Amino acid sequence: MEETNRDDPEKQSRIGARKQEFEKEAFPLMSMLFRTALRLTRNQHDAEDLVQNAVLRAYNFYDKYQPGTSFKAWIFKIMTNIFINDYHKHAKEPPMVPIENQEGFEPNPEKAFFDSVLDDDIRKAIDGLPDSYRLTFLLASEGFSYKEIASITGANLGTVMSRLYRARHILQAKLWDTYQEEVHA
Amino acid sequence: MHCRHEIETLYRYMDQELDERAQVQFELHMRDCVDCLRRFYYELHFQTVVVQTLHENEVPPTLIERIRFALRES
Repeated sequence: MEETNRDDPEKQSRIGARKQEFEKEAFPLMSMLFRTALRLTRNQHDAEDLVQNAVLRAYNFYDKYQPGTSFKAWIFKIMTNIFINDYHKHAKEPPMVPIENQEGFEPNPEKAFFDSVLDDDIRKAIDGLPDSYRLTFLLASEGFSYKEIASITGANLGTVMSRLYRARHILQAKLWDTYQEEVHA
Repeated sequence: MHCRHEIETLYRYMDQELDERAQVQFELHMRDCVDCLRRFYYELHFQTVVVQTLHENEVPPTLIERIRFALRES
């Protein structure tokens, strides 16, 4: 009778070790994956699904991961691909605001207006960014280098820098508007 | 008023994307340019506030458990 994998102790032990190694790499990144997923999908249920799918897919393809390279960048790339292919298609994009329309905004560093802006305003402003800007901004906020962001999102370095600039500019302009509304309310 | 190029250089400085020489040059520039220095502190404040907000969302323990279970089953 042919021996099944479950009956082969050596194979079982190899699988167990591999699983343990994967968990050691993946679990410390769970908070980071989740908070990025939450702002990408804009809701808790989809964010949990996205993280679970990404982690399980990463485990299934763990033999494709090249040791010595960044595991964090690799698993984020997997999550980004799932988001773009499965979630982004169904998501309603906010209308793209040309940057030229927002050039009038120039932050006034004398006013530390961020102190008066609520966390919820910040979350809403991030959620309102177009997907490609939001993704780039979130990855930069998690400490990825421009080169890593380019690799994760499939964009070139110039595009990454441009998206980051625009995302920050739009966010600050939106928060400035919120602050002005609150001051004059 | 800053031009886009100046702000992008400031972002690259803050994101540690400038090479050593450009980084030193920019730091020397900030010593003489009050506008750039103020903008630097403004952007730093902005990034800190955003990161603090993002970090407020904890990963649900039930999600960790679900993933652990699914891995055990796979």
